[in-house]
Amino acid sequence: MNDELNKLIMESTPTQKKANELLEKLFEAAKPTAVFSPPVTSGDYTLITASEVTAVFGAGYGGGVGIGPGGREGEEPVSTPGGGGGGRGGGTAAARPVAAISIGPNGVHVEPIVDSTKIAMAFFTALGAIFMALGKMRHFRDTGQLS
Amino acid sequence: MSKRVFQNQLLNGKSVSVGGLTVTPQSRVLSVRLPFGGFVWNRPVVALVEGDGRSQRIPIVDKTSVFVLMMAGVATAVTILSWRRK
Repeated sequence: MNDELNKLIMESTPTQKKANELLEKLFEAAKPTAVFSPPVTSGDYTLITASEVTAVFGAGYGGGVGIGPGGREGEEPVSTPGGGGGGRGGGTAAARPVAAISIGPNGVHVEPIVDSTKIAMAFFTALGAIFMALGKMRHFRDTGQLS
Repeated sequence: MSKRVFQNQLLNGKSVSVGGLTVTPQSRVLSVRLPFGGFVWNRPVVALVEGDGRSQRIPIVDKTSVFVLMMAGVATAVTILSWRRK
């Protein structure tokens, strides 16, 4: 029993350690260097790009050992130890340019970077949500049922 | 950065000096640190400009998010108004 438990702990500890290391790497996105690029100089102008960074990560693991009845029929019952464990993790990270800070002879300007694709997607999603909601309302008004 | 569970902090980026002007970008980071996971949201907020004995704060506006939130607000308003009229 102790051997099974020790084996389970020894095998799961490195995995948990790796998951914790990955979690610490996630928080690299919390530094200003993740948002602002190194300055790029061309002629009289210096440019710094500013981005929005999001990252999320989660992991879970568990294990257990137990003792169950064993032995063949007709023989003395024998305690049989057993154990198992498992883990899973996942995450995502995204970065999107927001603006460019330009430093030049005319001073400092912040030029916004507009993501037209995202705006178009949001527009059509909003339009679809409006039509779906109106359709549900019409159905509820006509039949008295939500679906 | 300290390892607190919840953090909402304004951080200074690396300062850049060009032609007598010093620009320090600042970002705001919102992070949640849990034993089994975490979340980080880091976004630029302002560029501090210092030079000629004066300082200036230039806000960094995320126009894309402004447009997206406006559309979400309009969709919600239209839905609520339609519901109330019926």
